Amino acid sequence: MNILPGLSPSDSIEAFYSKGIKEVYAGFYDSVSEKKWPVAFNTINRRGEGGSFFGLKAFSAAAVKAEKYGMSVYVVFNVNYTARQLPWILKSIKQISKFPAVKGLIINDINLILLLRRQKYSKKIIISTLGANLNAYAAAFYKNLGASGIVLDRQLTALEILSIVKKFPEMRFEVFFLMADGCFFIDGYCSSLHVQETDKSKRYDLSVQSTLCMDMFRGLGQKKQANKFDCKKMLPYKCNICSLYHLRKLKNITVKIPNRTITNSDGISIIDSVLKIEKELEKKNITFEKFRSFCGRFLYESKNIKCNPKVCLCRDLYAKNKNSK
Amino acid sequence: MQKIKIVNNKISTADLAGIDRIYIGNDYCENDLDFSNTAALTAFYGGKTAISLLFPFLTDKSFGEMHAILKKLKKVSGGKPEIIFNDWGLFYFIRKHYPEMNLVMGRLLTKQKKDPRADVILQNKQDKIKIVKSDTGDKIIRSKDIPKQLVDIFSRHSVESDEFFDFLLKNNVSRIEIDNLKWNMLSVLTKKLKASLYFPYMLLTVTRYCGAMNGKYLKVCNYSCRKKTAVLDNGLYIKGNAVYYKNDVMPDDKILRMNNIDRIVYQEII
Repeated sequence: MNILPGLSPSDSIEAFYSKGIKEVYAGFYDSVSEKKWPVAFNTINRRGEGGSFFGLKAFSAAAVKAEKYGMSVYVVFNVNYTARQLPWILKSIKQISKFPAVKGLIINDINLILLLRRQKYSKKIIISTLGANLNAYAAAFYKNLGASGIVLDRQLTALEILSIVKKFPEMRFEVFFLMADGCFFIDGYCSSLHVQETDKSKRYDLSVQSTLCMDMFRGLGQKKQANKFDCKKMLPYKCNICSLYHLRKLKNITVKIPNRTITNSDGISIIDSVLKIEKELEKKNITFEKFRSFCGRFLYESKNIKCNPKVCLCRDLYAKNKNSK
Repeated sequence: MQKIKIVNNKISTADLAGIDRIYIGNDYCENDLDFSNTAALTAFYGGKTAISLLFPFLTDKSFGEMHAILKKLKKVSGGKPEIIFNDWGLFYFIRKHYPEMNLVMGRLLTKQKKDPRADVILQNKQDKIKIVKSDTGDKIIRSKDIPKQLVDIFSRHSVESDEFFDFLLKNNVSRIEIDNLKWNMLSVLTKKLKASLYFPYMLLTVTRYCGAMNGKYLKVCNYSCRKKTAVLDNGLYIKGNAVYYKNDVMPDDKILRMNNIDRIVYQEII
């Protein structure tokens, strides 16, 4: 299976390479963008401070090293922009696309897609999960605009994913995996404030606002209408492990790992998890039932979370499997 | 200024005085869509008000019955019905199969930055200094000023460019829909593209994890969106799978004109 982790400046390309990683995605910003639109506010990409490469020099070093290891880099410009930002975005895309390791962009802004199409942008365009890719017609829409790949929405069930992916064998589809810190809302962009800052002495937001979902759940707790929310309880909704039993058979699937520096999600440990799961899938006598049991144990042992088949993204797979017996 | 009201699938004569158009449908969840009464609604309201169908994000299951819904609408609305899409898949579907239909780009696709909590930071009114206690002693954190360009992009949506205008107009989209931001709204549209403003609730976001959102962790939809709205102390409104914020200050005429707003969509969520 193709695994795509995020590459932050603090990550080691060598370590990724040693795990067999052939592709990474990365963010870029510079002093010009930072002066006007601080990246902490998800104005340039969604990786925020610490998760993105600052300046062409830093990006160049990473891109050259990636090339040395035969690794492809996809650069994220995965937010929505205003017209005033687009000249800087287009200039930056031109600069970073000169590196041979850069094979494409992960974007979602319709304006940007249209402009790149007009400019006959030669590298790949992958549509970010912010494109709200929830159905096959959406995939067809983006394909028609020149996209060669789609990052599917995080809230699709396993069967919904399979249904879309099978219709477009020529396209690449990225599917999120083990989203311990993944967004709670559709399209991963709830129009809310995520001030992703790393500076310890100066900040834009001293109150250190939580995400909208956390505020919402706290609020619900106050109202005593639902005080049971627990982040850990969300993981069974989003772990997506069982789906790999079916997804691995499709050639155009990439397992995407949403690791970010700011959320302290360690890419290497998630890659190790995927590799361990892949090893289990390689066993000759593995059935879906056996794999399910393995996934439940794996989730409990690695995350201390009990699998809840009633709510997870693979629940429709379970039902289908049960009915087919 | 056109006045719009979002109605459910039932015929009601209440509160429709002065309403120019009704929206049937919703923009929060496909599970709560019900167009079974569209023909009767059109016949009932047709003489007095125009009708639009409003759609949320969709998964493949909703496209199974889309032909039947749109054919019925086409038949009953006499020619050119209006569809408000919040999903690019639906846009593609309609352009492919029903190119004559009038399209409106919904508020989930215009991509405004809406989080009301940003207001204090955007005004540079956040705390200026904070002392954090740690094992190695007290640490002082100071605030950084917000650049004015950041405030500017929070005040604009992502549609504002000639490229996007051309794309929309060529594809029979003559209107976009926006929420009533708590701060300035500076976008300028081409005159050919009109805008609708939702009032007084901004739709901040939606999820399919309603089971977790209502704390019950259910496996199937239990239509929590049809039940009571939770009003939180922090100003958020939770209705089923959607999060709203109320801003009942209508923008002044200058802002309405600048944004080409000629339609107000009144929505009740409580």
